[in-house]
Amino acid sequence: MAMRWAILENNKKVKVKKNNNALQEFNVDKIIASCMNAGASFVLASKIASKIAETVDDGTTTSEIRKIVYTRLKKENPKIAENYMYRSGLKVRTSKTTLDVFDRGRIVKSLIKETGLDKIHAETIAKAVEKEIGHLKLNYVTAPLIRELVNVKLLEHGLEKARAKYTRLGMPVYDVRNLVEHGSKENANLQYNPETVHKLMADQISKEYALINVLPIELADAHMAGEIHIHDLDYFPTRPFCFSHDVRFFLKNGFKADGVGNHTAIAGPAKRPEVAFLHAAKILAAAQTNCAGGQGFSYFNTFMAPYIEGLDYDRVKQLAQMFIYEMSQMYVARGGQTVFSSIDCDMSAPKKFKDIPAITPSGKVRERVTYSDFEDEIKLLFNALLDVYSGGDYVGKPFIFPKFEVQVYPEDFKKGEHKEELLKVSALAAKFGTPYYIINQPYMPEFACYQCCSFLMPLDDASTSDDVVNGTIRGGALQVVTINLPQIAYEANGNDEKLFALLRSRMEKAKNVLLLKRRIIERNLKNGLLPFMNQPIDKKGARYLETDRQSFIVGLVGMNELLKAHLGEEMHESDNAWKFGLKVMKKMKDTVAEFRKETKLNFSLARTPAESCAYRLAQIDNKKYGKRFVANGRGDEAYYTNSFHVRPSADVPLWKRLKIEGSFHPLTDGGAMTHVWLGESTPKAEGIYELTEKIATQTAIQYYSYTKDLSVCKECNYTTSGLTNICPKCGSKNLDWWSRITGYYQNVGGWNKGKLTELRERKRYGLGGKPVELPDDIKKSIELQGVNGWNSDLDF
Amino acid sequence: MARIVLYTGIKCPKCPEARRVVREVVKEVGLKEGKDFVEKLIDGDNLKPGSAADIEGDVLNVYSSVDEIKKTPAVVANSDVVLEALTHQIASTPGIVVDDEVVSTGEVPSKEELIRRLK
Repeated sequence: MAMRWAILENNKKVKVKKNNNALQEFNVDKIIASCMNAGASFVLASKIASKIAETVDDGTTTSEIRKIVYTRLKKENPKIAENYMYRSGLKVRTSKTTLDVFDRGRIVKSLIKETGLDKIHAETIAKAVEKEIGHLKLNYVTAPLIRELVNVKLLEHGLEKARAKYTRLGMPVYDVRNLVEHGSKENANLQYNPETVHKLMADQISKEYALINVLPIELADAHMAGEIHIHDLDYFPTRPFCFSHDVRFFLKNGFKADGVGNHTAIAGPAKRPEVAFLHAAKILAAAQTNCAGGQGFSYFNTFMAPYIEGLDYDRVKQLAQMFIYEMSQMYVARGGQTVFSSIDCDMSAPKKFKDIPAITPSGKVRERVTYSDFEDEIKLLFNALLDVYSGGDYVGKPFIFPKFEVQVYPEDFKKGEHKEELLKVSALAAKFGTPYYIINQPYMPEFACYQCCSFLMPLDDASTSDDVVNGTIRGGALQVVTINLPQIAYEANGNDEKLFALLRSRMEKAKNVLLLKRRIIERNLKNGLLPFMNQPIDKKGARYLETDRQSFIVGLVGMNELLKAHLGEEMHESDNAWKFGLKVMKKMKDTVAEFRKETKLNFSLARTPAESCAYRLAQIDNKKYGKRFVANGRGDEAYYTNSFHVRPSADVPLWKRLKIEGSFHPLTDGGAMTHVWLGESTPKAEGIYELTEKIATQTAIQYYSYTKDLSVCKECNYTTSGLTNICPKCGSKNLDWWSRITGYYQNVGGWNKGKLTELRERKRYGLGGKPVELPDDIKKSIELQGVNGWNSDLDF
Repeated sequence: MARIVLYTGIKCPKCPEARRVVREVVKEVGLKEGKDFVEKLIDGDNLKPGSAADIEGDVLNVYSSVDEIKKTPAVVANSDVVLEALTHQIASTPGIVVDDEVVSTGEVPSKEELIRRLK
């Protein structure tokens, strides 16, 4: 006791400074207690405290005191000294990868900065957190843990909005570990490699950020409740959707992969054919870094034609092969994927460009030389591309990208033009299902292309006559939002008036999402976030991406289920249901036209591909609407029919399916697609040609493809038609299955359960138009494929 | 059901010519307007049934359904015509359907072609 009295006598009335700069009266008892907590005896603790009391003065900081105590203790007993240091200053592992002493003041500062809270509230929260940490008696804390505690205290104090701003986005450790050590179980399309691991982590943060901080709560809720589906949500805060490029701009001006030339070398206009084709490949790859969706070239073989002038067929084929391989092998886009690319090709010079001066090697325009002077080259390049696609890759697998979009004109069949090429295209469709047919119907805009998954780019809306001449025609979708039609029918309960009122209200929400996206992209362009898209294209300062020229796409899913829920009949079951479907669609088209008028922006209505949302929305509704729920498949396999399509499993002749779907195509102005699922393993090219002629001249279908299911042996790489469990070449049972998920081919192993059920149920057709079923053993095997969840790596 | 249906639009520049060609063919092959042949206006739902309307220089008697046609030349106009045209794959005018098959859309076929399709 004598020792203690002695110390107390020395307990000066001095003020020491705390970490938050506040002054506090020095208290010798605290020193004794902290030393004893670290394991010192009372005698030792008192001895140290006594020495401290002698040295401390007004303004001495608590950190300085801590250091002196530590030094003195270390001389007496190093172990106790280490214990003291640890316990006296709780260490925080910060997000800047440093180890700092816990400081309540930092919580106050960050709360004020990040949430806008006033100082009083911020201090109350910080004190509550400090107290909580004290109760927990932790050895150390991390910055994320402190943030979690702060968030809990914010909620306890009713400060929910502040919590939404202050919260941390990310993934559970368990998920990250699984992703790093085993890859994604919900996204088998992405190869397990370091790039995709990073992409999937980043996607999670970005998606949460969009839902919590970017979208107003009513729009985020509309997405979560399945009223609408905002596509590619992970890219919503950063990038536009898809883009159609004019290769002439780069052939004329050269190419900067980063859009500015600060981070990459700058190339001048290509002088040689090889360089021109390599530039073309790199343009799409570079643009993909700025966009979520597909990248494509309109009039590709027309604009490249001057670069093959004078070359023989073998060299042209080599160039075509080089380009297609580049697009199939550059494994660099969006976290270790190939570029989602497409090329629109013509069999002769398109009317619009016949008299337009051609861009020739070195980016030069030669006097009186127009694209009509390159008819032979256009045809030669078309055939070369076609032959490369038909050959497949080194082991005979089909090329999935770039998608081969073939411009077809109904009058060509009537005049018997391009029959040789069309027969070759038919042979390619019969072999691999590769080509996509753009049927230039009389009702379509004269100047348009089909790209990305299946979006129509109305180039007339996006481009001016100067763009046509200058080589700057471009377009694309800024964002896509899909309306869940069946949910509207459940809510309307058979009442037409209510149905149309709900449809309008959901479309208004979609419009608001699209307008928000416009503001986001404008801001991102201004901030320099999208350097490739922000590059100037002329001296007046026009940008490569002009936000207001892009399409603002409203899509739809589940028309067939809307009709079944609302009228009790599906489209193929009665003309009444079919016509009501057209009425709903026309209403949507008229509403979109109103949006266009009101905003002066290119709003359009499209068949969205819906590889994720046809499943996600059905799964949400299944839980919510019980007996009213109408879908294909059951339980966790339930999915909605895409857009205005006839139910995939409907037992209807092909021609009826085509006529019903064809009637909806003219009501879209942002793209539509019909599928012909082929059931024959080796259909004849002539048969495909005849069916193509019939579709082009007898229906209103504007875009479609023939889909062949394919099996690729993982042992010997042999590709065979149809879905099979045994490789016909080597007998292996180790096969990959490929089919067209929506507007592109994909490995079936990456499909969600809804899409797999669709694959199993699809009515495949022979060229005679009769439906063909899959064998039972294949149907069973399909059940074993696929992934958990509904996410698709490409959410078009 | 009529063998030949002509779908037209109010401001469609090719429609007067289609109207002339189809009616000449109808007369030539001995079909009867209102029974074997009907013209339908895809955007005429605002026209008053029972009236006569001047459409791009042609005066046509307007009816809301085929069954009501009394005087020819006649045109049927109601809000369902456009949906009906779509079920026949007609999305641009003039559009001609013969025996439920599309003969032409957005263009005027020759008289010979039309007669051939009617045989």
